[in-house]
Amino acid sequence: MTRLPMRQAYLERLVPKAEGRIICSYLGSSARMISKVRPHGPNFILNDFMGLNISVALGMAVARPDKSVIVLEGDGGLLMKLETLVTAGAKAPPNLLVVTFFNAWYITGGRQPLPAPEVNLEDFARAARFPQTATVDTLDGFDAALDRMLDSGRLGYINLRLKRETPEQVESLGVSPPHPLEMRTNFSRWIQENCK
Amino acid sequence: MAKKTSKTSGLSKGCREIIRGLKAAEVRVLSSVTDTYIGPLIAAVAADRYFESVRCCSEEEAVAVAAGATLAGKRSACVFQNAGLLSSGRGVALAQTYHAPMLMLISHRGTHRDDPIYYHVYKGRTTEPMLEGLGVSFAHASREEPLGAQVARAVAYVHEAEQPFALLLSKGDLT
Repeated sequence: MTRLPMRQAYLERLVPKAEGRIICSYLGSSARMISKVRPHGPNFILNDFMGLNISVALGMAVARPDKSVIVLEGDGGLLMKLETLVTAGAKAPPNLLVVTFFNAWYITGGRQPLPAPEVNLEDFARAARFPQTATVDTLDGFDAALDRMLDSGRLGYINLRLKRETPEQVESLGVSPPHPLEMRTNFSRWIQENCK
Repeated sequence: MAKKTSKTSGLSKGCREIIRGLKAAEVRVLSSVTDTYIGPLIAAVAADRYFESVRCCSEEEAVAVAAGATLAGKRSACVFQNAGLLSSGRGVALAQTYHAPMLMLISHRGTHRDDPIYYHVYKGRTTEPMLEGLGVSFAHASREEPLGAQVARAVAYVHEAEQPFALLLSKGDLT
Protein backbone atom coordinates (compact mmCIF):
# COMPACT_ATOMS: atom_id res chain seq x y z
CA MET A 1 0.00 0.00 0.00
CA THR A 2 1.31 3.44 -0.93
CA ARG A 3 2.40 5.62 1.95
CA LEU A 4 0.60 8.88 1.23
CA PRO A 5 2.49 12.19 1.43
CA MET A 6 1.59 14.87 3.92
CA ARG A 7 0.03 18.16 2.81
CA GLN A 8 3.12 20.22 3.60
CA ALA A 9 5.31 18.00 1.44
CA TYR A 10 2.97 18.55 -1.50
CA LEU A 11 2.98 22.31 -0.93
CA GLU A 12 6.77 22.37 -0.75
CA ARG A 13 6.87 20.72 -4.18
CA LEU A 14 4.35 23.24 -5.50
CA VAL A 15 5.96 26.46 -4.29
CA PRO A 16 9.11 26.44 -6.48
CA LYS A 17 6.96 25.84 -9.56
CA ALA A 18 4.52 28.57 -8.51
CA GLU A 19 6.98 31.45 -8.74
CA GLY A 20 5.11 34.44 -10.17
CA ARG A 21 1.82 32.59 -10.11
CA ILE A 22 -1.22 33.45 -8.01
CA ILE A 23 -2.12 30.83 -5.42
CA CYS A 24 -5.67 30.86 -4.07
CA SER A 25 -5.93 28.71 -0.99
CA TYR A 26 -8.88 27.49 0.97
CA LEU A 27 -9.18 27.58 4.74
CA GLY A 28 -7.75 25.43 7.51
CA SER A 29 -4.50 23.53 7.30
CA SER A 30 -3.69 24.55 3.73
CA ALA A 31 -4.24 28.22 4.56
CA ARG A 32 -1.85 28.04 7.48
CA MET A 33 0.74 26.05 5.57
CA ILE A 34 0.78 28.19 2.46
CA SER A 35 1.40 31.21 4.68
CA LYS A 36 4.35 29.30 6.08
CA VAL A 37 5.90 27.80 2.94
CA ARG A 38 5.28 30.87 0.77
CA PRO A 39 5.03 33.87 3.08
CA HIS A 40 5.64 36.54 0.43
CA GLY A 41 4.17 35.34 -2.85
CA PRO A 42 0.88 36.42 -4.41
CA ASN A 43 -1.30 34.31 -2.15
CA PHE A 44 -4.99 34.85 -1.68
CA ILE A 45 -6.31 32.84 1.24
CA LEU A 46 -10.05 32.49 1.57
CA ASN A 47 -10.87 31.81 5.17
CA ASP A 48 -14.23 30.18 5.73
CA PHE A 49 -16.60 30.37 2.72
CA MET A 50 -16.04 26.68 1.98
CA GLY A 51 -16.52 25.74 -1.62
CA LEU A 52 -16.27 29.22 -3.11
CA ASN A 53 -12.53 29.23 -3.68
CA ILE A 54 -12.64 27.83 -7.21
CA SER A 55 -15.14 30.54 -8.16
CA VAL A 56 -12.93 33.30 -6.75
CA ALA A 57 -9.94 31.86 -8.62
CA LEU A 58 -11.99 31.60 -11.82
CA GLY A 59 -12.82 35.30 -11.50
CA MET A 60 -9.14 36.09 -11.06
CA ALA A 61 -8.15 33.92 -14.02
CA VAL A 62 -10.59 35.56 -16.43
CA ALA A 63 -9.68 39.01 -15.14
CA ARG A 64 -5.94 38.37 -15.57
CA PRO A 65 -5.44 36.10 -18.57
CA ASP A 66 -1.72 36.92 -18.56
CA LYS A 67 -1.27 35.46 -15.08
CA SER A 68 -1.29 31.84 -14.02
CA VAL A 69 -3.71 31.02 -11.18
CA ILE A 70 -3.41 27.89 -9.04
CA VAL A 71 -6.36 27.21 -6.77
CA LEU A 72 -6.14 24.85 -3.80
CA GLU A 73 -9.44 23.42 -2.62
CA GLY A 74 -10.34 20.86 -0.01
CA ASP A 75 -12.40 17.77 -0.61
CA GLY A 76 -15.13 18.90 1.78
CA GLY A 77 -15.26 22.36 0.25
CA LEU A 78 -15.50 21.06 -3.30
CA LEU A 79 -18.33 18.72 -2.35
CA MET A 80 -20.28 21.71 -1.00
CA LYS A 81 -20.13 23.41 -4.40
CA LEU A 82 -19.57 20.79 -7.08
CA GLU A 83 -21.10 23.07 -9.67
CA THR A 84 -17.98 25.24 -9.48
CA LEU A 85 -16.19 22.55 -11.48
CA VAL A 86 -18.88 22.68 -14.15
CA THR A 87 -18.65 26.46 -14.48
CA ALA A 88 -14.84 26.36 -14.58
CA GLY A 89 -14.89 23.49 -17.08
CA ALA A 90 -17.29 25.40 -19.33
CA LYS A 91 -15.29 28.65 -19.22
CA ALA A 92 -12.02 26.71 -19.39
CA PRO A 93 -9.53 29.51 -18.76
CA PRO A 94 -6.16 28.24 -19.98
CA ASN A 95 -4.36 29.90 -17.07
CA LEU A 96 -6.21 28.07 -14.28
CA LEU A 97 -5.09 24.93 -12.46
CA VAL A 98 -7.36 23.39 -9.83
CA VAL A 99 -5.67 21.28 -7.14
CA THR A 100 -7.74 19.43 -4.57
CA PHE A 101 -6.52 17.87 -1.34
CA PHE A 102 -8.27 14.60 -0.72
CA ASN A 103 -8.02 12.94 2.67
CA ALA A 104 -11.72 12.10 2.92
CA TRP A 105 -11.90 14.03 6.16
CA TYR A 106 -12.89 17.42 7.56
CA ILE A 107 -9.56 17.98 9.28
CA THR A 108 -10.09 21.35 10.91
CA GLY A 109 -13.89 21.29 10.90
CA GLY A 110 -14.68 18.81 13.62
CA ARG A 111 -12.49 15.93 12.42
CA GLN A 112 -15.25 13.97 10.78
CA PRO A 113 -15.21 11.79 7.64
CA LEU A 114 -16.74 12.92 4.38
CA PRO A 115 -20.27 11.61 3.87
CA ALA A 116 -18.82 9.48 1.04
CA PRO A 117 -15.12 8.79 1.78
CA GLU A 118 -14.70 6.69 -1.38
CA VAL A 119 -15.91 9.43 -3.73
CA ASN A 120 -13.66 10.02 -6.74
CA LEU A 121 -13.21 13.76 -7.26
CA GLU A 122 -11.33 13.38 -10.52
CA ASP A 123 -14.42 11.76 -12.01
CA PHE A 124 -16.32 14.97 -11.34
CA ALA A 125 -13.64 17.05 -13.07
CA ARG A 126 -13.74 14.75 -16.08
CA ALA A 127 -17.53 14.95 -16.17
CA ALA A 128 -17.19 18.75 -16.03
CA ARG A 129 -15.09 18.52 -19.21
CA PHE A 130 -11.75 19.52 -17.76
CA PRO A 131 -9.38 18.87 -20.66
CA GLN A 132 -6.67 17.36 -18.47
CA THR A 133 -7.01 15.67 -15.08
CA ALA A 134 -4.94 13.51 -12.75
CA THR A 135 -5.11 11.85 -9.37
CA VAL A 136 -1.74 11.42 -7.70
CA ASP A 137 -0.56 9.89 -4.46
CA THR A 138 3.19 10.54 -4.60
CA LEU A 139 5.34 13.66 -4.61
CA ASP A 140 7.00 12.68 -7.86
CA GLY A 141 3.59 12.12 -9.36
CA PHE A 142 2.61 15.64 -8.32
CA ASP A 143 5.79 17.05 -9.87
CA ALA A 144 5.06 15.28 -13.13
CA ALA A 145 1.43 16.44 -13.20
CA LEU A 146 2.48 20.04 -12.51
CA ASP A 147 5.11 19.92 -15.25
CA ARG A 148 2.54 18.57 -17.66
CA MET A 149 -0.28 21.00 -16.83
CA LEU A 150 1.30 24.31 -15.85
CA ASP A 151 1.81 26.45 -18.94
CA SER A 152 0.10 23.83 -21.08
CA GLY A 153 -2.39 26.41 -22.26
CA ARG A 154 -5.28 24.30 -21.02
CA LEU A 155 -7.37 24.21 -17.88
CA GLY A 156 -6.12 21.49 -15.53
CA TYR A 157 -7.17 19.51 -12.49
CA ILE A 158 -5.02 17.54 -10.05
CA ASN A 159 -6.46 15.57 -7.14
CA LEU A 160 -3.90 14.90 -4.40
CA ARG A 161 -4.38 11.97 -2.09
CA LEU A 162 -2.72 12.75 1.19
CA LYS A 163 -2.30 11.57 4.74
CA ARG A 164 -4.38 13.25 7.42
CA GLU A 165 -2.65 15.52 9.87
CA THR A 166 -3.10 14.79 13.54
CA PRO A 167 -4.69 17.50 15.70
CA GLU A 168 -1.24 18.11 17.18
CA GLN A 169 0.25 18.64 13.73
CA VAL A 170 -2.45 21.15 12.84
CA GLU A 171 -2.01 22.92 16.16
CA SER A 172 1.74 23.07 15.76
CA LEU A 173 1.51 25.09 12.55
CA GLY A 174 1.05 28.15 14.68
CA VAL A 175 0.76 30.49 11.73
CA SER A 176 -2.50 32.35 11.49
CA PRO A 177 -3.54 33.41 8.01
CA PRO A 178 -3.46 37.18 7.58
CA HIS A 179 -6.49 39.31 8.28
CA PRO A 180 -8.65 39.72 5.15
CA LEU A 181 -8.00 43.42 4.83
CA GLU A 182 -4.23 42.99 5.15
CA MET A 183 -4.23 40.19 2.61
CA ARG A 184 -6.44 42.07 0.20
CA THR A 185 -4.15 45.09 0.46
CA ASN A 186 -1.01 43.04 -0.17
CA PHE A 187 -2.65 41.14 -2.99
CA SER A 188 -3.89 44.34 -4.67
CA ARG A 189 -0.40 45.80 -4.44
CA TRP A 190 1.06 42.73 -6.15
CA ILE A 191 -1.58 42.99 -8.89
CA GLN A 192 -0.80 46.66 -9.45
CA GLU A 193 2.94 46.04 -9.61
CA ASN A 194 2.85 42.90 -11.73
CA CYS A 195 -0.13 43.13 -14.07
CA LYS A 196 -0.70 45.29 -17.11
CA MET B 1 -14.63 29.57 -28.75
CA ALA B 2 -17.70 31.28 -30.19
CA LYS B 3 -17.08 34.42 -32.20
CA LYS B 4 -17.99 37.49 -30.18
CA THR B 5 -19.40 40.65 -31.65
CA SER B 6 -20.90 43.80 -30.24
CA LYS B 7 -24.55 43.41 -31.15
CA THR B 8 -27.29 45.30 -29.41
CA SER B 9 -29.88 45.61 -32.18
CA GLY B 10 -33.16 44.09 -31.09
CA LEU B 11 -32.33 44.55 -27.43
CA SER B 12 -34.73 46.40 -25.21
CA LYS B 13 -33.93 49.97 -24.29
CA GLY B 14 -33.38 48.91 -20.68
CA CYS B 15 -30.80 46.28 -21.61
CA ARG B 16 -29.01 48.71 -23.92
CA GLU B 17 -28.91 51.26 -21.15
CA ILE B 18 -27.44 48.74 -18.70
CA ILE B 19 -24.70 47.81 -21.17
CA ARG B 20 -24.00 51.47 -21.79
CA GLY B 21 -23.72 52.08 -18.05
CA LEU B 22 -21.45 49.08 -17.49
CA LYS B 23 -19.12 50.25 -20.24
CA ALA B 24 -19.13 53.84 -19.01
CA ALA B 25 -18.08 52.52 -15.60
CA GLU B 26 -15.40 50.26 -17.13
CA VAL B 27 -16.93 47.02 -15.84
CA ARG B 28 -15.12 44.27 -17.75
CA VAL B 29 -16.25 41.02 -16.08
CA LEU B 30 -19.88 40.03 -15.76
CA SER B 31 -20.92 36.75 -14.11
CA SER B 32 -24.48 35.57 -14.44
CA VAL B 33 -27.24 33.09 -13.91
CA THR B 34 -30.13 33.55 -16.27
CA ASP B 35 -33.80 34.39 -15.74
CA THR B 36 -36.61 35.36 -18.09
CA TYR B 37 -36.13 39.08 -17.47
CA ILE B 38 -32.35 39.19 -17.84
CA GLY B 39 -31.64 36.48 -20.42
CA PRO B 40 -31.38 38.94 -23.34
CA LEU B 41 -28.97 41.11 -21.35
CA ILE B 42 -26.76 38.11 -20.57
CA ALA B 43 -26.76 37.01 -24.21
CA ALA B 44 -25.81 40.50 -25.36
CA VAL B 45 -22.95 40.74 -22.88
CA ALA B 46 -21.68 37.29 -23.86
CA ALA B 47 -21.61 38.38 -27.49
CA ASP B 48 -19.80 41.62 -26.80
CA ARG B 49 -16.00 41.58 -27.03
CA TYR B 50 -15.72 44.34 -24.47
CA PHE B 51 -16.83 42.01 -21.69
CA GLU B 52 -15.53 38.81 -20.19
CA SER B 53 -18.72 36.88 -19.52
CA VAL B 54 -18.89 33.96 -17.09
CA ARG B 55 -22.12 31.99 -17.14
CA CYS B 56 -22.43 30.27 -13.78
CA CYS B 57 -24.43 27.30 -12.53
CA SER B 58 -25.47 29.01 -9.29
CA GLU B 59 -25.89 32.56 -8.10
CA GLU B 60 -23.53 32.21 -5.15
CA GLU B 61 -20.84 31.22 -7.62
CA ALA B 62 -21.61 34.30 -9.70
CA VAL B 63 -21.02 36.52 -6.69
CA ALA B 64 -17.73 34.76 -5.90
CA VAL B 65 -16.53 34.97 -9.52
CA ALA B 66 -17.25 38.70 -9.54
CA ALA B 67 -15.39 39.00 -6.23
CA GLY B 68 -12.36 37.21 -7.66
CA ALA B 69 -12.31 39.47 -10.71
CA THR B 70 -12.50 42.64 -8.69
CA LEU B 71 -9.85 41.41 -6.24
CA ALA B 72 -7.64 40.87 -9.28
CA GLY B 73 -8.17 44.50 -10.23
CA LYS B 74 -10.89 44.38 -12.88
CA ARG B 75 -14.27 45.96 -12.31
CA SER B 76 -17.03 43.40 -12.18
CA ALA B 77 -20.75 42.90 -11.86
CA CYS B 78 -23.02 39.93 -11.44
CA VAL B 79 -26.58 39.52 -12.65
CA PHE B 80 -29.21 37.04 -11.54
CA GLN B 81 -32.77 36.69 -10.32
CA ASN B 82 -33.72 37.49 -6.75
CA ALA B 83 -34.44 33.83 -5.98
CA GLY B 84 -30.69 33.37 -6.29
CA LEU B 85 -30.04 36.04 -3.72
CA LEU B 86 -31.62 33.75 -1.14
CA SER B 87 -28.94 31.14 -1.75
CA SER B 88 -26.05 33.59 -2.10
CA GLY B 89 -25.64 34.84 1.42
CA ARG B 90 -22.16 33.43 1.92
CA GLY B 91 -20.98 34.78 -1.42
CA VAL B 92 -22.17 38.25 -0.47
CA ALA B 93 -20.51 37.92 2.94
CA LEU B 94 -17.30 36.88 1.19
CA ALA B 95 -17.36 40.04 -0.92
CA GLN B 96 -18.00 42.13 2.20
CA THR B 97 -15.30 40.42 4.26
CA TYR B 98 -12.63 40.85 1.59
CA HIS B 99 -13.80 44.33 0.56
CA ALA B 100 -14.53 43.19 -2.98
CA PRO B 101 -16.70 45.85 -4.59
CA MET B 102 -19.21 44.69 -7.17
CA LEU B 103 -22.51 45.70 -8.66
CA MET B 104 -25.26 43.14 -8.27
CA LEU B 105 -27.96 43.53 -10.91
CA ILE B 106 -30.94 41.59 -9.59
CA SER B 107 -34.17 40.96 -11.42
CA HIS B 108 -36.84 41.65 -8.87
CA ARG B 109 -39.44 38.96 -9.36
CA GLY B 110 -42.56 38.41 -7.27
CA THR B 111 -43.81 41.97 -6.92
CA HIS B 112 -47.52 42.71 -6.93
CA ARG B 113 -47.06 44.72 -10.12
CA ASP B 114 -45.07 42.26 -12.22
CA ASP B 115 -45.51 38.74 -10.85
CA PRO B 116 -48.71 38.09 -8.92
CA ILE B 117 -48.05 34.37 -9.14
CA TYR B 118 -47.70 32.21 -6.03
CA TYR B 119 -44.31 30.72 -6.93
CA HIS B 120 -42.77 34.13 -7.41
CA VAL B 121 -44.41 35.80 -4.41
CA TYR B 122 -41.85 34.59 -1.86
CA LYS B 123 -39.07 36.21 -3.86
CA GLY B 124 -40.69 39.61 -3.83
CA ARG B 125 -41.47 39.28 -0.14
CA THR B 126 -37.95 38.29 0.94
CA THR B 127 -35.62 40.29 -1.31
CA GLU B 128 -35.43 43.52 0.63
CA PRO B 129 -35.29 41.89 4.10
CA MET B 130 -32.55 39.60 2.79
CA LEU B 131 -30.47 42.51 1.53
CA GLU B 132 -31.07 44.42 4.77
CA GLY B 133 -30.11 41.37 6.81
CA LEU B 134 -26.89 41.00 4.86
CA GLY B 135 -26.14 44.69 5.23
CA VAL B 136 -26.11 45.28 1.48
CA SER B 137 -27.05 48.76 0.28
CA PHE B 138 -29.58 48.62 -2.53
CA ALA B 139 -31.95 50.68 -4.65
CA HIS B 140 -34.81 50.07 -7.02
CA ALA B 141 -34.05 51.28 -10.50
CA SER B 142 -35.79 54.57 -11.12
CA ARG B 143 -37.89 55.44 -14.16
CA GLU B 144 -36.99 59.10 -13.70
CA GLU B 145 -33.42 58.79 -14.93
CA PRO B 146 -31.72 56.81 -17.72
CA LEU B 147 -30.81 53.35 -16.43
CA GLY B 148 -27.28 53.59 -17.80
CA ALA B 149 -26.53 56.57 -15.58
CA GLN B 150 -27.87 54.69 -12.56
CA VAL B 151 -25.68 51.69 -13.34
CA ALA B 152 -22.57 53.81 -13.78
CA ARG B 153 -23.25 55.67 -10.54
CA ALA B 154 -23.83 52.41 -8.67
CA VAL B 155 -20.45 51.12 -9.88
CA ALA B 156 -18.79 54.33 -8.70
CA TYR B 157 -20.50 53.83 -5.35
CA VAL B 158 -19.29 50.26 -4.83
CA HIS B 159 -15.70 51.27 -5.47
CA GLU B 160 -15.90 54.15 -3.03
CA ALA B 161 -17.57 51.93 -0.42
CA GLU B 162 -15.48 48.80 -1.24
CA GLN B 163 -18.69 46.82 -0.79
CA PRO B 164 -21.35 45.23 -2.98
CA PHE B 165 -24.43 47.16 -3.98
CA ALA B 166 -27.66 45.75 -5.42
CA LEU B 167 -29.71 47.46 -8.10
CA LEU B 168 -33.15 45.86 -8.26
CA LEU B 169 -34.63 45.67 -11.74
CA SER B 170 -38.33 45.29 -12.48
CA LYS B 171 -39.81 43.88 -15.67
CA GLY B 172 -40.47 47.40 -16.93
CA ASP B 173 -36.86 48.41 -16.43
CA LEU B 174 -35.69 45.67 -18.77
CA THR B 175 -38.24 46.07 -21.58
